[in-house]
This record gives sequence, structure tokens and C-alpha cells, in this order.
Amino acid sequence: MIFMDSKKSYLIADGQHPLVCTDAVRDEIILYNLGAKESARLFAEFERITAKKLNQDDKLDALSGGQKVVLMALLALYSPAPRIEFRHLTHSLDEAIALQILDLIKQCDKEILLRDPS
Amino acid sequence: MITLPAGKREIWPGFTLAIDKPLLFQPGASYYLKGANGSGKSSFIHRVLLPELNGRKDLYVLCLQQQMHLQLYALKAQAAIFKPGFAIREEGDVWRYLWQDLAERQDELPVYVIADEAYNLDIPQDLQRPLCLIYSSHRYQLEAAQILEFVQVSTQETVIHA
Repeated sequence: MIFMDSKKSYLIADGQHPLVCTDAVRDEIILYNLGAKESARLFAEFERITAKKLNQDDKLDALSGGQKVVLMALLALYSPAPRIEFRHLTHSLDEAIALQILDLIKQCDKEILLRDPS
Repeated sequence: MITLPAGKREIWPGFTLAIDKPLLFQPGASYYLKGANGSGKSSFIHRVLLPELNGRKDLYVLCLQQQMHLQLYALKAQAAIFKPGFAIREEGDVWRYLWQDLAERQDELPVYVIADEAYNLDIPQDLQRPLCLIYSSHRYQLEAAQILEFVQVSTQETVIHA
């Protein structure tokens, strides 16, 4: 039985509720199906953008609201999903960080939609 | 009126918020918490400001949380019990619900509105009680608001300049 046509569906990443899990970063990495190489890229980019070191054992609730959105964006970008729909992506981000995330999106070869219903 | 004394406060092990001079929050004024992501604005709200306000009998607190889906679900549950039929689907509904609840109180106590990255500042034009507005946002800044600037001096410390 086919529940979803994966050729047409998008991974939805919504800045209003950026993270699904409640415990450690590792849980989100598993959820987004990131391998070791992608995880390493994620941690490096996260530190470059936020100046905060992150590892898979860190608790998600230690992140600020904006840092959660950055993590969500990186998880989505480095996930195997070929299509992503970002919603409310920049609302919680300061200008410098928002520009860096938008730059990463421009460089990404996935099909990406940006929606901000506000 | 709320006064927070100057000094350093450990928010969690390894991170301190330093207030450079006493912070005064009074009805009739608005305050803009300005700072980069991760500078400690939400921590200030939750670890410093709200503990001062909670339990006070001489004011009301109306707080809209950042990434408010958990608050939204909590209010949905409350509305289901106390205001059946009141639909809460998004931030605007949360504002309406809280203002309606407050309007039923027969007193003139001030209300402290704390909005952490709310999409809109949904304040009734005909509000009948004194208002103190404290908000953070990367999108808007009210002209009349006093700025409290959160400056990260290191990964371990942010200084709040009034």
C-alpha cells in the first residue's frame, strides 16, 4: 500500500515548532536519517553560524529558540530529503544568522520552498 | 512596578547574565529585549523576570512563549474545560483567549505582557488597565520602547545594558 508519493512530497521544516524530540541532539539526527559524515558537517556548520559547539549528547532544551531553528534547518538540508518546505524559517533568527542560513539554502541543490504565512 | 537589582545571576552552570544597573519595569512603558540569537533573552524572561512576577497579587502576567506550540496545546486543553467552543489554533487565538480571560476580572490591576518572539503584539486598543509590555523580536521594534540590549561578552556571559 502506498501512503505517500515520495516523488512529490516535501520534508516540512517549520520554525514555529522546529524540533520533534525532547531529549538529545542524537534523537533528531536519527529522525532526519543523517549519517556520520552529514552529522559532522552539521556540527561544523552549527558552530560556524552560532559560535556554539554542539554534539550529539547535548540536550535540546539547552538551545535557545533561534539555535533550535538553525539546527532544524541544518538537519533538513543535510538529510536525504530531496525536497524541503521551510515555513517561518527566519522569524526567530537575527539578521546575520538568517543570511547565513539563506546562503546555505542557495548553495543547496535540493528543491526548496520558503513559506512564511505571517 | 518591578525592580531587578544590578548584579550577576547564574542562569545555568557556565552561563551568567549580568545586569549592569537596576532594571525598572513599570506600567505605562514598553521594553524591547534586543540581542542576537543565543544571547539570553528567553533565559532572562524565564529565569529572572517571570520568577519575580509569578505569585504577585498586585498585577497580572500575560506571557506568550517563543515557539509556542506547547503553550497552545495547554490553552486548548484549558479552553476545552472552561470555555467550550473557543477554538485555539494559532497565536492570534492565544492572544484573544488570554485577553478575554483577563477582561472578566473586575479590578484595575496592571497587566505585564511578556511576548517572546511573538508574531504580533496583539494589544487591545480599548484596554482598561495599565499595561507594561516586555517583548523580544527580530522583526519589529516599537518606537517608544526602552531598549534592553543583550551583549554577549563571551560564551559564558551576557551583559544586559539598559
